[in-house]
Amino acid sequence: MTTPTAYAAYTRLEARAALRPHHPWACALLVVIGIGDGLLPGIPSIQHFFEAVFGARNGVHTILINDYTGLLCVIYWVGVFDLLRVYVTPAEERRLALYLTKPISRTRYFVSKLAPTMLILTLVNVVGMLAAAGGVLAFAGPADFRPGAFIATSLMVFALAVVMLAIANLAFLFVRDTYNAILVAAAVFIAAVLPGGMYMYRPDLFSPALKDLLVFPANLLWHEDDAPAIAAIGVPLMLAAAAVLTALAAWRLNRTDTIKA
Amino acid sequence: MTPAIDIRGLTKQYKDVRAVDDVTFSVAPGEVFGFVGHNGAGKTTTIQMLLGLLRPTAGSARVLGRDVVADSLAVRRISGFLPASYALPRDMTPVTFLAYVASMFGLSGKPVRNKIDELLTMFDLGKVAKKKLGGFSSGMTQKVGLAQALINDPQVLFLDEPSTALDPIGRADLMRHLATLARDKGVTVLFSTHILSDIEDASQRVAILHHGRLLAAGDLAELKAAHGTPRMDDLYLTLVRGAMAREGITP
Amino acid sequence: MTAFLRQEVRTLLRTRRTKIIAVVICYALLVFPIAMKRPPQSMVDLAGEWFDGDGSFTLFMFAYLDLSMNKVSMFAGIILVGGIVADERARGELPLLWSKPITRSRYFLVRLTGAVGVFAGIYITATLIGTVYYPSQVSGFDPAIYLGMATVHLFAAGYAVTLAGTMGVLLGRKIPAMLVSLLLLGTFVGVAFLPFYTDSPWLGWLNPFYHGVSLIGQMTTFTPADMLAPIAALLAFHIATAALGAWKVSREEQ
Repeated sequence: MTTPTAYAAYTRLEARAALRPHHPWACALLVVIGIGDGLLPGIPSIQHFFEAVFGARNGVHTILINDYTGLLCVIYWVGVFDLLRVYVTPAEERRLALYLTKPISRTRYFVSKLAPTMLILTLVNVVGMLAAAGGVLAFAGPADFRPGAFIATSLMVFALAVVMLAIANLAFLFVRDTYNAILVAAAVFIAAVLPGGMYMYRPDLFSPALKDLLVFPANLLWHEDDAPAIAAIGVPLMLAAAAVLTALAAWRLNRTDTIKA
Repeated sequence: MTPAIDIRGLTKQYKDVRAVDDVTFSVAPGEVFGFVGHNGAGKTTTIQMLLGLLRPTAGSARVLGRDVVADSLAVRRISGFLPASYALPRDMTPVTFLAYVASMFGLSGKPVRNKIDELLTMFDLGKVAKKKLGGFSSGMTQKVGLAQALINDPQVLFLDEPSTALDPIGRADLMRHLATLARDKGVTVLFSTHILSDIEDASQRVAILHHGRLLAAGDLAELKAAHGTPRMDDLYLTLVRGAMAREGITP
Repeated sequence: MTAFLRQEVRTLLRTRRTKIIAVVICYALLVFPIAMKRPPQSMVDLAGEWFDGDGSFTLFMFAYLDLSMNKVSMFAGIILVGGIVADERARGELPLLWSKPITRSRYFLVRLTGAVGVFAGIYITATLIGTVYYPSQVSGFDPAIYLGMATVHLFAAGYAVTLAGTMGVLLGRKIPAMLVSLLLLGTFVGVAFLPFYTDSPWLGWLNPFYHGVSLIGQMTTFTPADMLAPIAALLAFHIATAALGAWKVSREEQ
């Protein structure tokens, strides 16, 4: 007989399975990035580059522009590979139909895998934030560092990563193998970071509003004073968007009848 | 006559599990030889050792005179193999997959295209020749599996549980194909199964494996007579129960 | 084994992902001049300061290698061969493939070579298109310099394929292998120009992507002979990495 306890056991098993060996490595990488970025303002040509191109006002900004980029990259890509385990690889390895014949709803299957993954990514993000803050304080000192703005901005970066993951996750339901899934994930990633790269070479293409909206991650530092207020609105908005996209993905999974055994 | 397959004291030890234990038997050229045993008896391990996919812990084996350890590539060059459990690349078609497998034998060009046509006809795959393998039923997959095992015109064919996924008609066809291959082309066939009726249909000689040990090997009719069992099922059960009794296990 | 290699190349060319990679590379190549039409003077000055030459062509080559080809090849490598052997194992195809008369190391090397070959084909085609297209789009464009630098960079870009393919057999499982490849290649690409920013070439010695872009430090003066050292270094990276993968795969039972 199916009991709530049985589902609790399933949820617990999924939660345990969500923690993978690459998560500690991702944390280690974020620490390395935190330390490595801390060294950047010490290289005059790099500091000059970030001042001239991205309007960095001090060494802390240079460190943080790189930290936020690193945080987004690591959280997003670790998340992508975690999400592949939800649908793409089980379908590819013909395990999905076997799972879905068990008496759990597809939504429960979906959520039981997604929820612990998001929790672990949150923890990895916290490690990344601590490493970034540590790098700034150790190498640039506390003078130009504003903890409130840093926390708000880091949360914005995390929320952006979550929205990107939600988009990729939805798209994964339409691809048939890992390679194509990575291709889709790469497209989402490039769409997010390309404006920042493009801005280096064609700032004339960006109106002030477009610049503030798209030139990640420098835009988060241009409005440092307003960061807590922006995050107070932006983070819930982005998380809500991610939730809607995830609900859409669950709906799509429920309607999919082409799962191959 | 030199045996096509000659196995002597073949043993495979995995840590504390002896998967194959001192197995000795031989298969004559051009015969369809049945290799019988329950799941986990050691049939697959034995076949994989014969193809050089696993290294024996002890003993030796030769396929058409070639040592399976020292000369495993030569063995594979003259052999066809259908594993018990496998999948086919979902994005390929039967035609592209068979061409791909042929290329692993260094074969290409018109002879391969002709061979593929012949195999597609033989296994009645002509209509699905250009369809993606991802959508194939298990029976159709098994037919492609059998076709790939024959792409190199093998002299020895190893089939591991070949009839498991087939429907009754497919099984009858398979047995017919095996008999034809042995009779017309002189192909030696060693096929493992736990479906005992297949053995009676296709083989004159068998080897029976139980928990890695060889219980009996030889002419099926002689074995039945020796044990006073009219049918293959009875022979198998008699031998297995005897082995279990010797091991102190109550059936 | 040329039949197998030919068949592998043909198989890879038929896949949707190969076609998409080819389209993406060509698209990036064609729209690139738009991105570089009016670079800010500050970027032009910085490029002149970091690298050899002055003017927008130096900046163009920097952006071409950094923003476009390095990033594209990083993803292309993983998408083309991110899970050789590991992928077939996970799908259950290995028992059949490894029963054929080919050693495991050779199977791995042929598949890797096929993928590197396909990627090189796409890269070379794109470069040749660039050679014809860019002179009319980029002021000061020098086809000889572009071809020379792209030739060296091809070996670095191809290394993304070699590394991603090898990681699949080293780690045994596709998803971790792809992730580690991505993070490693991302790091290599991310710090490829660091030796120029810091004026410390030794920082790039162990980075294949630095060798791939190293000619930018002598853009206006390099000769064909100068291309040989970075190409030799990159070939050594390829051979060492592939040999490691071949050794690992040859030790596996199944």
